[in-house]
Amino acid sequence: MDVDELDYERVVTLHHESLYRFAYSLAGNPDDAAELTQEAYVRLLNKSLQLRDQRRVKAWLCTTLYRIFLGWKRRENRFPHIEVFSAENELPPLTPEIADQLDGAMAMDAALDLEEHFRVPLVLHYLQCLSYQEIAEVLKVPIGTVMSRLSRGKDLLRQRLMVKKREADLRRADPISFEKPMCPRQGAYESR
Amino acid sequence: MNRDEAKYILRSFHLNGLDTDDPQFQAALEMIQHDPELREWFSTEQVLDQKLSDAFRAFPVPPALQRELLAARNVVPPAAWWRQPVWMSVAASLALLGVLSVLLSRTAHKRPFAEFHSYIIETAAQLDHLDIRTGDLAQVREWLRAHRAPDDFAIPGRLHGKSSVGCRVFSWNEQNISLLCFDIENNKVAHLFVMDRSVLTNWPEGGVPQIETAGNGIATAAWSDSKRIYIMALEQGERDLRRLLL
Repeated sequence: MDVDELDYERVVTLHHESLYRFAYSLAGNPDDAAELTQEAYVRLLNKSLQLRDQRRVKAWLCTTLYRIFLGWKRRENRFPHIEVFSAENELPPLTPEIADQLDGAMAMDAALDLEEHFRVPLVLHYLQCLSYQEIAEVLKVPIGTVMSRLSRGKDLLRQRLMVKKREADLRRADPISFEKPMCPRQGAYESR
Repeated sequence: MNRDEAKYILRSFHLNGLDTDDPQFQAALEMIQHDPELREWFSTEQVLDQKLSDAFRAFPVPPALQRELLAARNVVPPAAWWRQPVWMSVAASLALLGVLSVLLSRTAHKRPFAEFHSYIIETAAQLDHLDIRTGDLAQVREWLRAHRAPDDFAIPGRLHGKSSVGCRVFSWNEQNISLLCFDIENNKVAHLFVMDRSVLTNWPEGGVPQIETAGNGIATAAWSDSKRIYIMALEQGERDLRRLLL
């Protein structure tokens, strides 16, 4: 991109926070998120296109960052999937009142528990980066697939947020016993 | 569109109203005006979504990141000679030649119709959603054209007059396939898949449908015209296919 200094500075100022948050939702740690963001901007500097349409730049950066992430993932087993075990169906639904108590870290933490194919469109949707059609272009899937992933992903995220909230409440109520390592065979030891 | 379908569509609605002009959202938003329960549901959804969006957008960003990104501009080397416009044009021409040669060589490696047929049977058994839902066939064609999928198909005889339900685009062997769905009698939906025939071999010649039922219960009718291959699929529907197409 023929990025003059003003344009580049503007693109960094406008989009770097969303890009970093999107990167974090992919990588799950601040170092890789920062590196992914850096890499996307470096590629922007190396491109020979005009930066006329600011909305296209944002979509281009999201797409590029996602491709870089996929490349890393292919080369290294850098982001292993973490299995989640919980009794989410037993929890009450997320209400606006409970949602008021959420912060960014809790939201991101819950999103990171989701499968990547739900997490990526969901985070792009909530960061208000892209329309659902642009998300379909980033992921290279039909728009109907984006819709179904957003619909299912929202349900899953809300369930995970309720789990996170319950854990946070328990931690606040009883910080000492909550920090004890859980042992699935505790009962067996006690009976000896 | 019923209430559940409207809810499904509206869950993808952009919080900034970015999708307001999209016909699918327009139809769902229009429905809100006449359905108080849907309106209340959407209002709660919007509140929840806005709060979640606020939470995601409040996720902390390292304070030094912006400074580091701006500093990167000074360490990224200037564009190399081969990135100059003239050399870019030469490279683009060579790349185009390469692409053309690959495309030409690929035409020699067409895929047998049987493979495509198997793919359709498997796909028809797992259909879960459409990309766009509309009874307006002109709108379906327009949408397919915009998504580079076959739109100049011919609707077979007795499907004329049946209302379309919607469509979806699939990709197989790097070719776009159009899927059109039609309401037929007894609450059944017929799925018509259309693809360019030039990328297949051994397709069913002519306009007389060849009808069969696969092991998973999906009945198919396959035929072709001068440009397209058509496969209509219907679960447990061999009799319906014969009635509609023969």
